[in-house]
Amino acid sequence: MLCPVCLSEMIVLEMDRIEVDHCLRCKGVWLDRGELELLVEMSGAPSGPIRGALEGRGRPLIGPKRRCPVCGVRMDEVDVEGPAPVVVDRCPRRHGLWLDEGELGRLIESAGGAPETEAVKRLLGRLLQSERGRPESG
Amino acid sequence: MWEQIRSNRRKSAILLVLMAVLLLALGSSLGAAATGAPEGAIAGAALAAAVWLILTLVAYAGGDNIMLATAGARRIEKRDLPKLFNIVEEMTIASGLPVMPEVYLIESNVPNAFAVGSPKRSAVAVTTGLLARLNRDELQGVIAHEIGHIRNQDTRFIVLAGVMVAAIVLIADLFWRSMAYGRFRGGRGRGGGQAQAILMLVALVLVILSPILARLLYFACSRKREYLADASAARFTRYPEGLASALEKIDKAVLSERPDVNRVIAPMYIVNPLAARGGISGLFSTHPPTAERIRILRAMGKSASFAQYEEAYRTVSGKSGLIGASALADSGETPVREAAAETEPVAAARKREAMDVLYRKSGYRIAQCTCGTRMKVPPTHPDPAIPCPTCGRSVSVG
Repeated sequence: MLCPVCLSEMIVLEMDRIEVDHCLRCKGVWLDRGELELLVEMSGAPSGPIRGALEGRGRPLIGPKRRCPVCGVRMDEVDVEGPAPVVVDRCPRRHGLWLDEGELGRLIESAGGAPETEAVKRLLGRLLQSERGRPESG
Repeated sequence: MWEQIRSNRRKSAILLVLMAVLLLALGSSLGAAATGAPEGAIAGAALAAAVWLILTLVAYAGGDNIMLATAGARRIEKRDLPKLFNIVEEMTIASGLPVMPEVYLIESNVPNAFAVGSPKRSAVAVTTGLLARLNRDELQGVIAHEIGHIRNQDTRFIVLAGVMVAAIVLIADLFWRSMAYGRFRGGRGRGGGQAQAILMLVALVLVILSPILARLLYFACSRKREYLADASAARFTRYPEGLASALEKIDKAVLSERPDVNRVIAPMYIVNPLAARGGISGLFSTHPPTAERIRILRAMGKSASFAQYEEAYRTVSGKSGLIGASALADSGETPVREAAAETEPVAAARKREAMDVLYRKSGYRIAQCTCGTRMKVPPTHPDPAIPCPTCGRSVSVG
């Protein structure tokens, strides 16, 4: 699948039997709806703000167009509710969520949150340790 | 034996003849209306027959492959998914099918399955979502249902009847389009106005009614075939609960997922993904309500025979006469077996297994970093080594 931002081919990363698509160039992450469901199911957490963001109402995305890597439809913008809400991109057909490098950092570093958000943060934080550790991504 | 299949075949033949009559009537009335002459009727009928013939030839030459390709199905081998193949082999033997169907895998979160072909050459296609969500008994139920369709010649009938419906719809559609371009309004100057006006009226009525009628005939037959495939599945597996539980899971998932399937293929799936959402049931649905199919399977109790399914069908739906008398008498004792005892891998593991097959088929290179992260690299990616995003080590993906 193509990265919605820089249009280079993403690679698939798998940890704990969950897959995410990752762009090696711009360091963003595509969280597929099916994988998100599996992750939440496996963690035993109830559906929370991230599923809510995927299903909820979006705002039009300002700036350059970003297209859903699954269906090519223009993505919109949604809030992941929590102590510090994080804005992420979302396929309006609910194929998944796109987190660019900054959004990913803000989500992982956000304090606390619902059990579902914690499960997603834990996985993404562990999976992308080294890239997030680099000085330029701070 | 297999009386219900023979009776089905007879009914199917009658149905196809009815559809053919409808098709020819539509063609000839349009021909007559367009030209205002009796020769027009013959030409129209010939044209309708030609449309049908061409569509049928296309469907026979490549229909199965077209359908599999439209669904995005990839053919897989035994070494790819031995467990799935094992079930298909088992059910081929249980059903007495002469040749084992080819097995196809579709990448989709929506759990579903369909079959194409004739008993001598057939294929079953399942989605990755189906493999992820179902345990062995449930998967066996679904495969048995699909093989039931092949065994009962439903897949062949659906193509034949579907082509007939398509021809009728196409001709009716051609009429509306040519109306828009004025083809049918030009005859007035040639005289015989009244006769042509009547012909025109008949043609109009047929144009409006025949697509609806053709679909009704098609749907009525296909609903009954679903029940028969369920009855076959119960008998082949001797475990009605497997299919019942699978249908329950599929129905639930189909409702929550957004349908991403083609409208033409939708009725071929074990649960129609488009109809399940709208709650349309009745004359225009290809499938009986899933809840009712589940209730019938669960009402079967200790026996998995056709007679038992017929009785459960009668209790639940209040109707009868689903299965032919000699098949009922012939089927004998078929006690329900115990649930398979096995340690089931979790849904995520089953999904990874199925998805990895598709990745390999698409030319992805799969590499494991020593830190535990697995990487799946698309064939278009140029680098022979990739820095692991988890630990930073360079991982060779050549």
